[in-house]
Amino acid sequence: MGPMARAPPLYRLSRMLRRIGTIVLVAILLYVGAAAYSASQVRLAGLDGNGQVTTAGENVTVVGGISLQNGGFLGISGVELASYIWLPSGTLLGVAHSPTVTIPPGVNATVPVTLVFDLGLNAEAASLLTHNAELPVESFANVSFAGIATLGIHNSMNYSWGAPFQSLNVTPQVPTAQSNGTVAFPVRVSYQNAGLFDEVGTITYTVHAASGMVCATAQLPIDTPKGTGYDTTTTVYVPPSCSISGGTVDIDYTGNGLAIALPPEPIP
Amino acid sequence: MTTDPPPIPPDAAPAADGATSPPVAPATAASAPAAEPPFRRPSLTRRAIVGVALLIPAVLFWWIVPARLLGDATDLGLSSGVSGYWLAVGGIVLSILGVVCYVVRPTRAYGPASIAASAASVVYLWLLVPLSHVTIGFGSGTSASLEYGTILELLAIVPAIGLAVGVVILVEDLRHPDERLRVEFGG
Repeated sequence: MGPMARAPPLYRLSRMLRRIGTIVLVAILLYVGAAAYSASQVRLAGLDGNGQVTTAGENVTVVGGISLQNGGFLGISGVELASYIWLPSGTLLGVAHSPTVTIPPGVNATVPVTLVFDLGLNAEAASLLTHNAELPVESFANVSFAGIATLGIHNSMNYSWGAPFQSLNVTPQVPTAQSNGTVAFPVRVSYQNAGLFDEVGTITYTVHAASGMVCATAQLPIDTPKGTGYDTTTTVYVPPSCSISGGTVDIDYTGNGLAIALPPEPIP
Repeated sequence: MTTDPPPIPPDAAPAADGATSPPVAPATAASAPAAEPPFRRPSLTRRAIVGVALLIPAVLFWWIVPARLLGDATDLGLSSGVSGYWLAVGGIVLSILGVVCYVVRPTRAYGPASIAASAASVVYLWLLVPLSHVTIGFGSGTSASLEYGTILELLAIVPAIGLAVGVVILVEDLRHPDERLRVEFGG
């Protein structure tokens, strides 16, 4: 065997760098493998479909969530959900969003989602108070595994919106002249509560003549659990100077924190 | 193209002009120039043959296997941002550069070749980063997308270190020609 040269310093440096490169490569591959295994241990533990509904002003807020069980040994971060709900015309009606959540290893956590319907947005949104609708919904979910890979899920579907005053009818019926000169109008109010919450409050309706003049007003206390209907006839007394034919009935609902005008009903 | 210097026989001594000089007293060990260790580099023909042989696994690693995986993924309904064209171009370029590194290793061109190969790897990985996602549709409007660009960014550290290795070798070969070769191909 011939004489061996002693490795020069720069050569030794290059050899050391090469070894570091190999170690880094192995470490990265091990980490990626570990992250992949850990991610495979994440389970969707459940969907919280019975969202808590709150109402305020003209907004209906639904709080739901999903439960994730991180059975891996690495944390999952950036867990985030968002949904966009559109009116059939394409106008954005509401946005559901969650906070960005980090789930440590071995933890079962719920990611809350808050969905806000702004029913006072425009006339089309207001019509959702009295008309069921199929609303286009786009949902996005993001999860980051071990900081090196991000899983995004996109879902497009239609949300079946149930109107809280579905098929609302406020109908003046055959008038009866009274001895004091007024005219008694029986008014029938009926609807179906197909919405997300029980209705406990007051319906106030105002009868307008075709000229816009207020002819009569009345208040009805209501207590209509979701899934049930309401059908009541009350009588209002209109002065003889008021001709309601061709007029309108304006309806307001106050209750559950909501204070909202329902779409007006024309009087034939 | 780098021209190889002629191989130095194993028993070669430093060039001495003693044969043509008048006889003098033998030099002492302290005053005699240090004997450079000999080295024998493999012939260019042999390196070229081995290099072509190495091209096969390199092409498999950089092109064929990734392209096959991409094709299988497509068959399973996965769509990727990475195109087969980019895999082919990148794979072939990196394979050739890897083989060139092997062929020129016993020469001073090894440093620049290492730099070129490592730089190409870094650029290749960085170009793939924005394309590094796979998407699968589940029907009924649901799809999932996995982004793994960070993994490629991390992997780019490795050729970046290789880039540093190439620079060190380049400097070493410029400052001390043949010193590295004596270590790698000596004895």
